[in-house]
Amino acid sequence: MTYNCSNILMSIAKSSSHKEGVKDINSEVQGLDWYNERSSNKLSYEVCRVSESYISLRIKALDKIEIPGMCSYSNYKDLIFSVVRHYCEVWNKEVDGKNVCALHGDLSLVGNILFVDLNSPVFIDWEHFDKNAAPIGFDALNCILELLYYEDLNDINLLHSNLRHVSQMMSFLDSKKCLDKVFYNSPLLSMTDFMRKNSHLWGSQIDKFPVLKFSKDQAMNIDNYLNKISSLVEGEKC
Amino acid sequence: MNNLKKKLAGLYPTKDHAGIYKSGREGYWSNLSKKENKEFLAVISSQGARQAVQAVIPKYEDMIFSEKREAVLELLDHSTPGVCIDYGCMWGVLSIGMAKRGHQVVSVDQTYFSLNFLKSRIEEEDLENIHLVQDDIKLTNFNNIADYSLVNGVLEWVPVTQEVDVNKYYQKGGDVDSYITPPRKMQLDFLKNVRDGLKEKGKLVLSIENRNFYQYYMGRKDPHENLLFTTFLPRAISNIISRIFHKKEYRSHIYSFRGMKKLVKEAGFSEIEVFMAFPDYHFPEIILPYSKAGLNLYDKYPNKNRITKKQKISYYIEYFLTKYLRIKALSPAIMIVAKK
Repeated sequence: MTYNCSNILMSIAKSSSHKEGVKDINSEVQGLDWYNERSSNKLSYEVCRVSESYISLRIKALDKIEIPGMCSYSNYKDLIFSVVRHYCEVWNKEVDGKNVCALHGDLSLVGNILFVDLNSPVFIDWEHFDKNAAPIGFDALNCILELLYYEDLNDINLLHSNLRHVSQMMSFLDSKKCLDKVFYNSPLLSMTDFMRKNSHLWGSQIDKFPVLKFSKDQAMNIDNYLNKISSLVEGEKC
Repeated sequence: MNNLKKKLAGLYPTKDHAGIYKSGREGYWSNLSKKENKEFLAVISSQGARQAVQAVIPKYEDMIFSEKREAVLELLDHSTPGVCIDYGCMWGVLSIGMAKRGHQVVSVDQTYFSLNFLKSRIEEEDLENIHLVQDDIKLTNFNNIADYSLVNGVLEWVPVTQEVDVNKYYQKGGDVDSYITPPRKMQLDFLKNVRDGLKEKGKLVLSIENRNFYQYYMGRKDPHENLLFTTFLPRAISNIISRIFHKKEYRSHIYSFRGMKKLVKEAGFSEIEVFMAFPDYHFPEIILPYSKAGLNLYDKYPNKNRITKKQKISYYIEYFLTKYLRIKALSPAIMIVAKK
């Protein structure tokens, strides 16, 4: 990270001279291009490729606001909605009957999303980017569901309140045609199943993802509860 | 490239079958004994560098291959390729790093084993821009050829002219050399020689431990002499301790931030930028300017080697000293970028 003499962050630089690292940064550059084409919030950057085995990427820092450091679902509900809306704005342009769409791969409020203001999130850290890799809705669900991991899952009232919000977010995604039907019935298990089957997309970093740390029972309980709520919502609609 | 090759051929008329330029000045400095090095090289020829390291010296795998070791190179601008001299290149992690960044690299070391290992790595990485030179780094005669010079973990060893097998050197006794020139004078002369090797506005990158690293005051041993308190005590007293316990002179002088900057300045460098590296300069997690602004940026950082309770407590002390008391002089390591 580069700061100016007044201690203000000017840019974030990443570089690598290892095969894997160069590949990741190249993916990040592709991801940034893809994102900039679709998003109203742009990220400006410079790439330096002096040889095939070295790359450096310098991303200009944004005037961002600090978001609360306590990463838990209940603290972030407003931010989550803001992220889901932005996700739809960006990914919606992808929807044209394709089975798979672009993958960010690590869309997370814990470090990979900046906020210019509370309604303007910017997605950063595109190193797992793949243009055609995941069912639509995957990244948004990852961002939403991983926050549940940081909550006390034994606090049933809290969990249910959060899951009601998850359900609302899923309905919103669906209304914007940004939720693949594969996620309708068992979002968490479908997500984790997808990740395990496509672990090459994350390489050695696959183990770091919070959604993969839920036990099978926890994941089933979450999915079952989400199903129950969504059927209630459907019933209410009828 | 041809120009550089011509210059090297002029300086070193002899080149051996492995393509290593030879000065006729040989020496030995290695973390391995000569016997271990022979065994290691035999395995390299049959299995390749990476596998050989994993099989024979696994504890050095990160030291040789970790990308983190190249972090110091990011203090330079790599947009224009230049010539770089890596003084005391050892296993060549920084030479490889600079070569991958597109520069022509002259890797100088007195230890033939190390150069041979680097040769295998160059072949495996398919690099054509590294030139190996076996020479005493104090006696090289490069003149205005380099845009960059690397002195990484080398300066402290310059005053030790005997052969060094690090593990033996740590022990009591060992070879006793009769030295005439004081360590600082040797280090200064070496840095002057490094300066001569640089073109105008060429840059020096230097990394070294901080003499006043807080852990030395807490009972961590001198990393070069394996003795308590010798890093920060007055040199004369350190010398007495070394003579009593190791029967040899205390030579591997390291410096405080101020002392290091002064030495580099005395060697004729200008525009000296000083950085502090955490948790060390080998595998830096954070590199910050040695200034108040730099201190403001200090924050928690991961370290996979922070395992024992003692190491964790030690880290909390560092955090307290740096974050809250805002003391920068006790940071672990010094990095310097300076211009000719």
